[in-house]
Amino acid sequence: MKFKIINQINLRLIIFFVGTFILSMLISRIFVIPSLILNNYSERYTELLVSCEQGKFFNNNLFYLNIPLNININRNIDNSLNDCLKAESFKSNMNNYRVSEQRLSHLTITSLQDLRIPTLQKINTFSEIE
Amino acid sequence: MILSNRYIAIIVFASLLSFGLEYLYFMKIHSEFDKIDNIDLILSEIITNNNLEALETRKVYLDDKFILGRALFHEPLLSGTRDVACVTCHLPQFGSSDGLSASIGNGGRKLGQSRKMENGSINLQPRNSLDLFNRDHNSVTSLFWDGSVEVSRELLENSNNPTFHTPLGSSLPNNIENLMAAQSIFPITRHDEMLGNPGSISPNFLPSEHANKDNELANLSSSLNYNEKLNKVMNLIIYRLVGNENTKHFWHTEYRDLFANAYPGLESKDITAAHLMNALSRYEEVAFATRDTPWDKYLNGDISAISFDAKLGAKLFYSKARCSSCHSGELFSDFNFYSIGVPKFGFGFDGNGEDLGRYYVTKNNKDKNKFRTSPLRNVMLTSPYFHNGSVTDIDNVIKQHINPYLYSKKYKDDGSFVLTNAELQNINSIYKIKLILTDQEISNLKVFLTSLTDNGSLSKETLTPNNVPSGLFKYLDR
Repeated sequence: MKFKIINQINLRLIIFFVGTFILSMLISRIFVIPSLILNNYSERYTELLVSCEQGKFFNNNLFYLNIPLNININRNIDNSLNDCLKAESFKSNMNNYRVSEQRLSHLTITSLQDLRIPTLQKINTFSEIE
Repeated sequence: MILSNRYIAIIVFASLLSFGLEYLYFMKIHSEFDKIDNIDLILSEIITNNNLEALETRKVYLDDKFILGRALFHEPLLSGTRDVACVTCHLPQFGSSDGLSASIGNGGRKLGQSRKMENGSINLQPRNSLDLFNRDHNSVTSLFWDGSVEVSRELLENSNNPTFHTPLGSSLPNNIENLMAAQSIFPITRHDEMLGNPGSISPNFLPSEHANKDNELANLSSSLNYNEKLNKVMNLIIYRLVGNENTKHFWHTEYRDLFANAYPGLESKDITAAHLMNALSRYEEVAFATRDTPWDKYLNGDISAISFDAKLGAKLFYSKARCSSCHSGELFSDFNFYSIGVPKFGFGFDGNGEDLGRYYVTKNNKDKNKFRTSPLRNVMLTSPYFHNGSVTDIDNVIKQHINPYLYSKKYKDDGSFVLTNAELQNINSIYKIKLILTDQEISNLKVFLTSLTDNGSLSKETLTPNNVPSGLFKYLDR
């Protein structure tokens, strides 16, 4: 009889342990990990987006203006365009880890408005091109 | 109270355990994000592990042998009916191939994708014309789709003078310099490629000295055996080119000079098939070498030489997609033979698309439907793909590689399966491990393959002569 009671208590403890473990895992996967990802990578993601937009801008405008470019500037534009792909990979990775589109876009807008975040100035001005 | 303490302890322990595991999980995520930003680091690891090196850039000498080879490569006199040259099926504008699924040799009119059989007759050629890029490279151990011309594997390691295995056996002309030279006799002496058929005559639109001439090459007595016939054909071609002291065609003198310049001290009466074959090889070696691809620049340390997409493609190529299992080495081929379930297409060897590939060389049942791994340099220029040219775009080529059983459950019009059981059994075992690639990954692989393109290798001025001594070059496109 005593043995049975101990077993019942142990079983309850084990179930409680498993339940707590699963619950904390769920909390971590749904709330903690996405927040950590956002905190750690939204800044870099924003940088990549900015660099990507710069690349697109220069690529389109210089193409239409038909300005001959030196190799370095061409490479800079290529690198900036590569950042578009990197940003896409960042985004798809974030989505894989349950960072919602809404949170991501909200945070990106905030980051873009935040002047403290330095953006990579791979291509500076038209004067460099000239 | 004791019980509640236990529960608190369990909560703490379970939470710590789960958060510990989640920390490790986050570290994994962290490295994934890092890798996106540092694809070059991953690639440098791949480059080291696979011993990848840029293709050696050799100095190119446009010597007299090259000039002779160039004239011969574009010379319709090498064909029975004086209207087909090597260049007919190996055009620079089609990446040294011809843009057709199955090449059209003898009996064809026009060039490239416009080339068709004369009078609507059927093209009996079973295979796609191979490109010629880098075939002089040391890693090339076999030529043609079925490897019917190959370097003797047993002797390769221990001998300075490798022997060549060809359908001619020991009757291959002496003094052949390399594998490229050894193969050149076969397209010239095949009826459906350049030799033409007995009784045929040259077209009447050619200049009078060439029009309506008998095809003396194909008319050789049928009592001669295969080897004798091939050697005799080559002797007749040399006679056509340089004549003898009694013949006075205007091109004879020019060819005698070209041979004399290419082989100092050689008299016209001593010209052999080997001289012709070696000169052709010299031209192909120089003309179709790729030297300046973005991938080679990347391997030499210029990390901006290829795009991020191409880098992702390279990573896939050497890892998940397992392409490098067969497409290995500097030329992206192991020059071995595999079946990847390519369905029958075109005329084939029996009129129904049947082509047993390597089996024709080894007569081993296990080699049925196996074909040589294609080298991939300039692969984006050499569509259509596969031995029968059944696929025109590289996406579908990649898809066929991903799933060689693609056609295994599809039916032909007569109700039979497209791939027979025997064909399925010979599919290379590496494909038995299922591979799933997303459209994005296929696109990345494609961008990587594009980075193997060297457009600069095909400079028209160097490759193409203005004319050839016989004056027949300009009639090739008629």
